[in-house]
Amino acid sequence: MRQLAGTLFIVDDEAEMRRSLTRLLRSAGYTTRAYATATDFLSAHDPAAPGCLILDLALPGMNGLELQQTLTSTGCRRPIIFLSGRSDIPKSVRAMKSGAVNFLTKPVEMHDLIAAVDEALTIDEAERVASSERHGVTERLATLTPRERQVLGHVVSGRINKQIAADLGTAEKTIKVHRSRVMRKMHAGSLVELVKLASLVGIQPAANSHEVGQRH
Amino acid sequence: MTEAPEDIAHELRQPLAAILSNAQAACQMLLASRPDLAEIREILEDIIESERRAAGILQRLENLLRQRVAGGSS
Repeated sequence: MRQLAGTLFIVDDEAEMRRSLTRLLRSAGYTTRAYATATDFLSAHDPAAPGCLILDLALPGMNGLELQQTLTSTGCRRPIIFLSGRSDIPKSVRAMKSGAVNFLTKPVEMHDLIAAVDEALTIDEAERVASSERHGVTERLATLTPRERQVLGHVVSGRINKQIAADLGTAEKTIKVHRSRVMRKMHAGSLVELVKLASLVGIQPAANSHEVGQRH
Repeated sequence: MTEAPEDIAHELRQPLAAILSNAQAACQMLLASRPDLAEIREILEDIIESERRAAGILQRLENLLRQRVAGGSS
């Protein structure tokens, strides 16, 4: 029934909430895991597992916002849907500012919950794809020689071989060889693709080509 | 021990939320070609339980409001 992959991690201290949410979401075709406390969730948590959190705001012990902070501080960007017993505006604003996907008030209508869950799973998947792409590009970037790395910076700034050769004090032929090696090592089929790959790992075209070249 | 009406009202959301999710889950399960009737029965029992809990909370809220009215007029 479901196309979106991922587990829904439910954290709620009320057993009747855990049971009813688990049933509801399983009946709609999702995979769920439920925990009574933030600590229980954290001790079982695998950040590499795709999915999102459905988190009660007012948990005893570590509360929902604190769990959100803990995850953020460890670099985990798992999307969070907060469930609250009351419409607490300041807390919901804080949660959303810290990256929560949604903030729903109990009782939650099934279609609102499912819309929020699908949105969260879509964000999680996109984030994982982007992260693995970044990882791949970083690995390829590491295979470049220092000179090729230098040429890459010039190329993504839109400079032609002749200009780069002048900047680096070498022959245009040599730059041509470097450029084609960069393209091959980075698995880039075109300049546009190379620029895109480079930007994934923070290599941006220089705003002004002279900054790159230091020609005079 | 005095309770705030807002806290009691807040407490009421919990069983109401459980009732809603359970009932919607049961409706969803009945769409299956061979619904698990034992599980649906369990859900209905949970709904009855949550509903009784909600009625108890409502009773406390009524008592509190009655006391307040009585306290205010004396």
